Formats: sequence, C-alpha cells, structure tokens
Amino acid sequence: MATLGELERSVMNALWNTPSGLTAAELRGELSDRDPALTTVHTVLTRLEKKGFVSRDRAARPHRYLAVSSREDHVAELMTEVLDQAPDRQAVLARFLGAVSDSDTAFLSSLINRKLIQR
Amino acid sequence: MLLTGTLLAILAVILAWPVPLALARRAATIDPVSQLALWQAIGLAGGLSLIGTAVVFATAPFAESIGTGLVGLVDAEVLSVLQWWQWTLLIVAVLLSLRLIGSLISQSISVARHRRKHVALVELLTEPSEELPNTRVLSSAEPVAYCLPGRSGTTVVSTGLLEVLTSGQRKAVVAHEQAHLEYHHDLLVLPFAAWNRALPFVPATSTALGAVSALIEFMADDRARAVVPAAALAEAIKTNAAVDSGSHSAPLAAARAARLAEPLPLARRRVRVLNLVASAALLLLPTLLLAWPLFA
Repeated sequence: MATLGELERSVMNALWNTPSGLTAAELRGELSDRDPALTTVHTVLTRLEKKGFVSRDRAARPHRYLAVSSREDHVAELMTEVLDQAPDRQAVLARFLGAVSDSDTAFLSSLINRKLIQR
Repeated sequence: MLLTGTLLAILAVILAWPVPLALARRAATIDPVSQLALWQAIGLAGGLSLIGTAVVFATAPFAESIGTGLVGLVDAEVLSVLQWWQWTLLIVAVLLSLRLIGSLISQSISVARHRRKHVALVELLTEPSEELPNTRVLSSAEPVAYCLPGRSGTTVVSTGLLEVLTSGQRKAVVAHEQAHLEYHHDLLVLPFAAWNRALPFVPATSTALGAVSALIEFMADDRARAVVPAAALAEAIKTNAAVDSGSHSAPLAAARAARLAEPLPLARRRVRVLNLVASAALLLLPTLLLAWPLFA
C-alpha cells in the first residue's frame, strides 16, 4: 500500500506541474523511473478522482486528467485545518505548539507567575 | 429520597461551577496524568449527579429508592398516575442522557471524518522523513509540527520548522508527538470536546476542555524527556514559539519551557495519590447516593 501512496504522490506532482492536464499514457511516461503498468496508472487515477483530487476531461479521447486544485491551495487547506484555534480540534490532531483559548491564557499565566515566585 | 435528590442537586451544581474553576486556578501541573484523571472524574460525577437529580425527584413520591423508582417506571399503573412535573423531569433526564451520549458519538464521527480527509491530503503533500522516525515532511515555510492520531498515526513537520531547529531539537519534537500517538492523548480530549459541544452553557465544560488540552502537552513532555534531553525539548519549544505567529501559543509554550527547565517535581507521587483518591471519592459519591436505599 505504501507504494500505491508513493505512486499517487508522483501522479499528483506530475499533474500539478502540467496544469493543462495529461492522459494516462502521458502520465506513465512521466513516471518512467517507476515504470508502472498502464492499468496501475488507471487505478491510481480512479482512486484520486474518488478522493476529489483529480478531475477527468471525458470529452477528450483518450481522457485527460487534471488536478482539481494547485499544490499551494492544498497546502493552504491543510494549514487552515492545522492552525485552527478551536480547542476541540485537538482530538483530530495535536500541534506541537497547541493553541489555547483566552480563559486558559489566564490559567497558564498564573502557572508561570507561580513558578517564578517559587524560585 | 428527597434528601438524596437535594444532595445530588447540590453536588451537580458544585461540580458544574466552583470545583472546576478552583481546580483550573490551582494550575497544578505537578502530576498531569492524575490531574487529568481528576478532570474525568469531575465530568462523570457531574453528569451522573445532574441526571440522577432529575430521576430521583421524579420518582420520589412513589419510590423508596432510585432502584424501586426505576423499576416502578416500567409499571404501566405507576406511569398512568405520574404528574406533569414528574413527566417533565423524566424527559429532561432522558434528553440529557441522550445529548451527552449522542454528542460523544457525533464528535467521534466528526473527528474520524476530518482525520480521513486530512490523512488523504497529508499522503499527497508530504514525503516520509529519512532522518526522523514515523515522521512526514511538508514543504511549507509555515513553521508547524503536529501529530495525526489514528490507526496509522504519524507526525507531520514542515520544512519551515525543520530549518530553524537543530538535529537534537527535531528529535525532541518528534519524541513529544510520538508520546501523544503512543498514549492516545486524542482519546483523552475527545469526551471533553464532546461535552463542551453538548453543554456549552455549563462553564465547567470549557474550563475542563482547556485544562485537559494543556495537560496532554505536559504529559507528552514528561514522556519525551525520558528519551530526549529536557533542554533540547525546551529549546525546541522556545524556538517554535519565537517563529510561530499564533499569539495564543505563547503562554502554554512558556509554561512548558519553565517546567522542562527543572527536574520532574519530587511531590508528584504524593500528588498522584491525592488526585486518585479524590477522583475515586468523586465517582463514589453520586454512585452511592443513587444506589443506597438507606438514604431514602
């Protein structure tokens, strides 16, 4: 499965680099270092389409595949999710430098002051 | 029964407001693990008292204890003579129970959905790190490190953060995140997030959520310093805070760095025993009040 994930990443990178889109055969050429079978490329593309990362131009023969959003947009989307300040998001993911709400800020300041007094 | 109900009601009110506030103000991080257990006991005991109060008052006129009261409720004859205010109390108890359990379920589902979407993005946008264990690297100038819990839990670090950290500090960051993953800290936060969503008007729920969110950071720091030098972790926290634009992170970062600057508190064994005894007592109190027919 890890190799499938790597292939998905390579396919996306190729599509992000070619905004006009690529056919499955062209994609296979782009991935020549891995040399996947054409059916594998199709499988990967179908998976990516299902996940909503890739769209298919069915009017073209053979079908052309396009990235739905740019890499930058996806990174921004990821960051929005990560940097979300809502504390209940901590159940989804935990940031190294977790954000705290204003009420906790008071709680933590009292903690720091207390430490300083104790010293 | 009326005495039981009154005692339960008092307990519910105390647990919903003064106790969490006092506990949060005490700002104890001597032993975060048992402190978190105490928060969980407060949450459970509070919920139990609140629901128990409604049921006890509703069944008080015809039952000696809550046990006979609940049995009586299955009896059609008893149900037919219930007054409107008894019905109201029972409906409140049922709705409250459903709300608490329902929000826990819906929160779990929403977390799983968010995480699945996030994992799909992470798989496409990040590369596995060669230097760090179970870590993926995101090409982004924004300095950030976080962990994604779940079956295939992983740590994600941005190149923006990696660039400003030394090798030792990077290992410390990953050790901290690995502790979150290994000890499933996300599951400890989940019920508090759910109850905060279910009862946002009860001040205890947001106080508890904030305290628990901070406590898991101290817990992960404690675990991490067993495998990496505490100083490296403290430096990583300070560096991250310095480059992080999020102003809300500063107090927690300062508190963690201050805690890492000193050896683990000697008093933590004593505090742990105290916290665990207090947690057990908190859970026993409403349970005994509800179960003990002698109080009828």
